[in-house]
Amino acid sequence: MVSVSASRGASGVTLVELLVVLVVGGAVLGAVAGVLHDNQRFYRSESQVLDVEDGLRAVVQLLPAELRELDARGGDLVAMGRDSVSLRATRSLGVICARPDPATGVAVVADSLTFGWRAVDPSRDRALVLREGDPDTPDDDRWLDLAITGASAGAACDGGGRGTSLHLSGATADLDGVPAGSPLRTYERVVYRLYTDEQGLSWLGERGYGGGAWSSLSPVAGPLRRVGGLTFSFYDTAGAPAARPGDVARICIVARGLSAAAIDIPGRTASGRQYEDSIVVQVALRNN
Amino acid sequence: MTLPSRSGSRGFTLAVTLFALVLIEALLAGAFFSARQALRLGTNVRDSQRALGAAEAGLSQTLAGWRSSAYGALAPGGVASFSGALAGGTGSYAGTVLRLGRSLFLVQSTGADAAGASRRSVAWLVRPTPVALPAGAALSVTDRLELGSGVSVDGTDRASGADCPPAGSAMAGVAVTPTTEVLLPGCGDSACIRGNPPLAVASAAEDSGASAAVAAAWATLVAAAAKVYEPEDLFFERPQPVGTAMACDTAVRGNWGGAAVPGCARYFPVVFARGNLRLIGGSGQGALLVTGDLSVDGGFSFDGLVIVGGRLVVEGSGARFGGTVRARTATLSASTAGSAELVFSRCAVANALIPNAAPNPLAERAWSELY
Repeated sequence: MVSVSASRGASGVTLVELLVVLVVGGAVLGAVAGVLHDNQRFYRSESQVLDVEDGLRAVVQLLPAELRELDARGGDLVAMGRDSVSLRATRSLGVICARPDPATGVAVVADSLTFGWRAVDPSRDRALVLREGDPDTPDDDRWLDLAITGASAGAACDGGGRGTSLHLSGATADLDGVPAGSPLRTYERVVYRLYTDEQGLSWLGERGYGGGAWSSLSPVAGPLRRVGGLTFSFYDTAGAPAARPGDVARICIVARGLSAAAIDIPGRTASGRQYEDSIVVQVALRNN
Repeated sequence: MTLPSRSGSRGFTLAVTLFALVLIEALLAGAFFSARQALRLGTNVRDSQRALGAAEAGLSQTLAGWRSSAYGALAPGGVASFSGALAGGTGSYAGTVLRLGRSLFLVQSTGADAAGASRRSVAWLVRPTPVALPAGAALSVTDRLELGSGVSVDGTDRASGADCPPAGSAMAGVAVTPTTEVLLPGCGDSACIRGNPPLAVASAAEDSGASAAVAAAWATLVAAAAKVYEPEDLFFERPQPVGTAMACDTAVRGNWGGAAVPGCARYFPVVFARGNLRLIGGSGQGALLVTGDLSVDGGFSFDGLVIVGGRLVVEGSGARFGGTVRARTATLSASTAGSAELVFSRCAVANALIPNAAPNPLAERAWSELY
C-alpha cells in the first residue's frame, strides 16, 4: 500500500492567487511596455538631435578647411553668394624635384615632399607652379596656372628619390627657368551651396568641375534648414562687407540645422517640433 | 513512499527582479551611449582645433625667431628642425625648415593638442626679404675718390658665389655725387674703370635717397652682426674660413666664411667694426660694416657688401672686392706685385643679405594645410 503524504504548500494555486498574479503581472508588463515606448521615442528623438549636431559639426569642419587656404586676391574665390561659394580648392602641395621641361610640359614632383588629401586626379585637378624669376627679388614671383593631362608614378628626381610625373599643358613655355625646388599646388574647382533633395531635406551640397563639365550636387553635410540653413558673409581686411571676391579676407559661415522629424523629449523646449540648432564660424583666409 | 515537499521554490520574484534590472541597465546604457557619442564628437572637434592652433603657433614662432645662421647655412634640400610647447600646456608643435632654393624655404609645423589625441600639419612658403639697397655700383664714394696705379673697378655683373642666378645687366663702375672730389692719377683717362657707365654722377636727390636707404640697411645689418670688433681689437690681421668639408666653425671670431672651406661656403656673417679696422691678407664673405676707416693690404679678398663710414684705403699688394663697396672716401692703389680690384656682383650682395634677412611668407599662396 502506498502512503501519500499531504504537502499543503505545493498543492497548486488558488483562483485568487492566480488572479493576483495576473493583475500584478499585467501591471508590471504594462509599465515595462510604457517605459520601452517612452524609451524608443527618446532614442528616436535623440538620434534626430545628434544628426543635426553632427551635421553642423561636419559643416564647420569641412568648409573652413576648404576656405582657409584660399588666396582671394589670386583668384581662388571664383564667386560668392548668400548661400553658395565657388572656389579653387587646394588638393595638394608638392615640390618639383627636377627641372621641368617646357617643351613637353613634364614636371616631376617628389613623392617624399607631396602633401595632400588625395592623389592627383588629372580629370579634375589643375596645377599652380611657382615661377620665381629672379630669386633675389620677390617682385617677379608668380604662380603659373596649368592644366594636368596626366600623372604617372615612378619618375626619378635629380639627386635621387622617386617622384610623380605630371604632364602639364597650357603656357608651358613659362616653365623655362623654373628650377628644382619650386613648389607646385594642385586644385580643383568646386561649388558649395545649400540645396534641397527630393525628400525635401536640405543639405550642404558639393559639386566639382571635371572633364569639361560640372558634376551634380551631392550632399556632404546636414540636414539643414531649407531657408537660411547656410549663409555666407564676406568681409574685406577692414572688416567691411566685401564687394568683390578679390577683396575677401574673412568669411563668416552660419549653419542652421533642422531635424528631419519632430522630436519628443520631455523637458526639451523644442519638444513636439523639429529640432533646430545653429553654429557660426569665422574663417580668416590665410593667404590674404 | 513519501514525496518531498517543494515549499521553498514557489513564486517568480527573483526572475522579475533580474528582468527589471537588465531592462533598466539596458536603458541606462543606451542613454549613456548617446551621450558619449555626442561628447566624443565634440571632443574630437575641439582637439582638432587645438592641434591646428598649435601648428599655426609653430609657424608663427619659427618665423618670429628665425635662426638666420642655422637656416641661412642650409644648402638647397637641407633641413633643420624645431619644436616647442604652448603656454599653459594646451598643446605642442614640432616641424622642419626645408630650404627649397636660393631664397625659398618651406616651413612645416605639426601641432598636437595637450593629450596628443589630434594632430594637424600646416606649412608656410617663406622667403627672406633682404634690406633694400640702391642699385649701386662696384664702388660708391661720396666725399673723395683717388685711384692710383694697379686699380681696376668694373661694374659688369659677375655671377660669382653659391647658387647664383645668371648675371644681370652691368651697373656703373664708380658712382659719385656732384660734390665728390675725383682724382684719377694712376687711372689714365678713366681706363681702369669699366661699367655702364664707367663713372656715374648721382643727382643730389638720388644721393639723398641712397644715403637714407644705406642708413636703414646699416641699422638692420648691425642688429644681425655675428662678429663685432670693438675699438680695442681693431687690428685684425688675417680672417679665413675655419671648418671641415661638412661643417663651419662659426664660433671662431676670425672665421668670416668662404668657399675655400666647403663647410663655410654658405656662411655669410655680418662683420661689424666699431672704429677703424686694418686687414692684411685673408678672406671672407658676407657684409662688412666699418664705422671708421678700413685699411686693406696683403691681397685680402672679400665677397659681398662693404660699407665704410670713413676712409677706405687699399694699398701694398692690394685686395679684391666682389659685390659692392660704399665709402665716404676711397684711396685705392697697389704695388706692381698686386692689384686693387673691385668687381660688381648682385649675387654676392644678395648672398650677404639673404641669410641675414627676416623671412616673410610669399605674397601669394604661402600657407597650406598639409593634413
